[in-house]
Amino acid sequence: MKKILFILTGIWLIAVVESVNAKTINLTIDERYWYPFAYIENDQPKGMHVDIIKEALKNLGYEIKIKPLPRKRSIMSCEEGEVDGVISIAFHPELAKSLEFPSDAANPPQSQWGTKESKWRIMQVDQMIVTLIDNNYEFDGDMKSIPNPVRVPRGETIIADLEKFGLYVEEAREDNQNFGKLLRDKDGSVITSSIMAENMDNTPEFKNKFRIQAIPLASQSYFLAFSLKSTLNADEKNKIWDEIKRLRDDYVFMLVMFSQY
Amino acid sequence: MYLLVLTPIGVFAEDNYDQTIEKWIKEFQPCALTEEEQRAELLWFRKIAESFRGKSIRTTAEDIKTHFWERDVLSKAFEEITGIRVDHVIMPEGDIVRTITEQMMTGRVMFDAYVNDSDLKGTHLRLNKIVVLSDYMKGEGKTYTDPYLDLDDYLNLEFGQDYDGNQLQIADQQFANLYWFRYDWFTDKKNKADFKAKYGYELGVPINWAAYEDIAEFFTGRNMTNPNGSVVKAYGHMDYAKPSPSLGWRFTDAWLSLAGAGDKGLPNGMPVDEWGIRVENKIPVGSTVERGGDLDGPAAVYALTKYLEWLKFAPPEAKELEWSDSGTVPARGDIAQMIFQYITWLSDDEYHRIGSPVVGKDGKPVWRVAPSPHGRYWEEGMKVGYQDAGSWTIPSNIRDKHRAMTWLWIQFCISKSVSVKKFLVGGTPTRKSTVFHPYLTANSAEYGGVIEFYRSPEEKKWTDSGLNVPHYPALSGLWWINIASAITKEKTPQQAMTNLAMQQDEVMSKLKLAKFSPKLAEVKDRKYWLDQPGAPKQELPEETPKTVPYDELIQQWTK
Repeated sequence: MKKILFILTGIWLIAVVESVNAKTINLTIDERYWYPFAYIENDQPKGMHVDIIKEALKNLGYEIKIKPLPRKRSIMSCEEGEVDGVISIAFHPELAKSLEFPSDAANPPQSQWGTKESKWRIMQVDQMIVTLIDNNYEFDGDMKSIPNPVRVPRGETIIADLEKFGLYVEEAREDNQNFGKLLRDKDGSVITSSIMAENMDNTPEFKNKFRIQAIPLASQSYFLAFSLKSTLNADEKNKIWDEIKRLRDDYVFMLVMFSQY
Repeated sequence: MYLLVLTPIGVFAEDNYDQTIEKWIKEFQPCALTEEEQRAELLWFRKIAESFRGKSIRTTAEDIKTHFWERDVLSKAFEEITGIRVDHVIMPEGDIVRTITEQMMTGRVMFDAYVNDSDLKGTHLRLNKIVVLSDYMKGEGKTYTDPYLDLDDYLNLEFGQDYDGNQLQIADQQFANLYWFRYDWFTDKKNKADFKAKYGYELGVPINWAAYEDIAEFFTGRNMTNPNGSVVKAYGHMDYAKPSPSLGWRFTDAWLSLAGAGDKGLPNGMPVDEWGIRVENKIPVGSTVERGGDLDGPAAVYALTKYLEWLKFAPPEAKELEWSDSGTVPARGDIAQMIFQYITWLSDDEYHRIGSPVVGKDGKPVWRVAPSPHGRYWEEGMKVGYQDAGSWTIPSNIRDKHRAMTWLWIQFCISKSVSVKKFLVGGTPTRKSTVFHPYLTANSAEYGGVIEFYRSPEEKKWTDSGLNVPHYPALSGLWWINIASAITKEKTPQQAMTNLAMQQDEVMSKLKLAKFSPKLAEVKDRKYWLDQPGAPKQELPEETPKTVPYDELIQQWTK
């Protein structure tokens, strides 16, 4: 009996020591509801991007903590070194002053779809333009033609690109706020993902009231970006990005992951 | 006959377009339509597409001859006639499944349409992320629907339909999986005598797997001569075994039901289908025997066991081959039979070229196709084999003009104006007017029995995966990893199938589908389910091998 207790205690101790020795990585994520990519459910971060990051870090032996924050606060906490990085953020030169992105983020290679896609992205996401159903507007690639005001989720990197074209941008924390304003003000447009727009169309409040444009506004690589003050060294960061890439190219993992949404 | 347009440029343009149509009428011969009807259809395409001139779309299809021809010839014709440019990207089937799934689940606009196997119809029905073509034709797409489309002419429109007959997908090509063999070797007097002496029954087309195995053993290592004079050491079997997505569909393409796993029922076993999935009221409830499925029952284990055992009768390189490599191997002249041959590969020139080891001096193939032999668990009333139907599928995030242009291109690809010519290139018919065309009546001998197969009512017994399968992309990936573990002997066949069945149930339990989402049944004792009638089936003893002369068998297809 004593022998069994001794063995059990030993096993427990090993488990405790191992968990203490596993490096913890602290990340943050925008608390915006952005199904299926990243969202909070019962206070837990969920979504395809979260799944990939969690799996990648688990495979590399990390323990992970994710803190949801408003987008701008998320970036600030990286700048202040409070966290190691932020999940699910697109590249912008301004952000590169305080965040570290993979080496091809600034100028990703052209994919077979004609879009620029980073090898180390978590995922590629298309941004779509949504207008009112009775607006005959058709987006044909001309940015300047997008109906004003252009309503975008707060902190999205595409805002800077829109403003460059002289567009008037309004930000809101959540997509449903942007849709609500579109209907209320009866003008302008909303920028969001196709899935978010389709989900809005499934709600009684928004059903059959707007139109998703056929051609995407933009296609963006979304990353796990690291704080410049993170204690992770360059080799560790590269290994994490490589593991993200490996998982994204893992045929079975991705298909099973997609099926959960 | 020609429209008179008032400006000189307009007149020139009209003549130019009409010359283009005449050019393509000549190219697309023989044709299921009269020349006048063909002209009318092609003119319809030209006129309806006027507002889309100069625009472009992007579609994708798998790497078979039919689709290469669409890319190289049809898209050119379409652009010249309609002014719409098509980038028709060819890629492996596994990549198509991966990409369409990503597009549907993330909303990315990657392709305007896919030629996506109708095996995914259960997925599409449940995910609700594709355009329902029958609705589109009646509603928003009515103006753009070809008045000459004639869907009643289709061989198997049901392949792309849901439970209520709504058309989710529409076949661009289809090809059955049949038994392929060397007719000349099987009818050779010495071979017949030697076989009878050794095995005690006549060499002929195997009706069951026991006979297939004897024939495989008989021919492996035997010196055989080909019509071109080459002498070879034969193999009695051909297959492929490289771990890859195609190893998965080697099994999900009805291999288990060929063995006899699952229930009776056409087009697919009910309540248990060829994936081993039990369904109750359209809801999948389990794959393991403990839940009433048949994925890890004796019949499924037998199917995997025989697949593994027979690899010794195949060329050693079979273990390194995938689907796209293996289909043309029998044309090199040393394979006696192939139980699982996708007939799309029979359009390869090597199967028809004079001087090829598998073509006689008279220019006719010395090979034939026949109904697939079945395993000892198979019963009358079950599907007899698999038919692949690469089917046009428009994701629902393709909208407005893009949807209309895409629909025009789809209809062009499946139109009666091009269908017969398309079959002559790729060997993958979808229409009755193709398989019954007088040209094929006159030349059926060149196809080794394929034309007789498609003309026969027996063709209805070769079907695609059914509506039972709730999420093809997620589940199909599980198959090849587990089959591979049995090939490497990491797991026994029983362990591999049990692991697969449990993983499949686990994935199904987490699916959140818009309708008919899986709901796993409670686990019961294995013995309980094996004692019930139907699937899962109890272990059965060895069977007595049976064969039939080909010339007698083919009568079934010519009745």
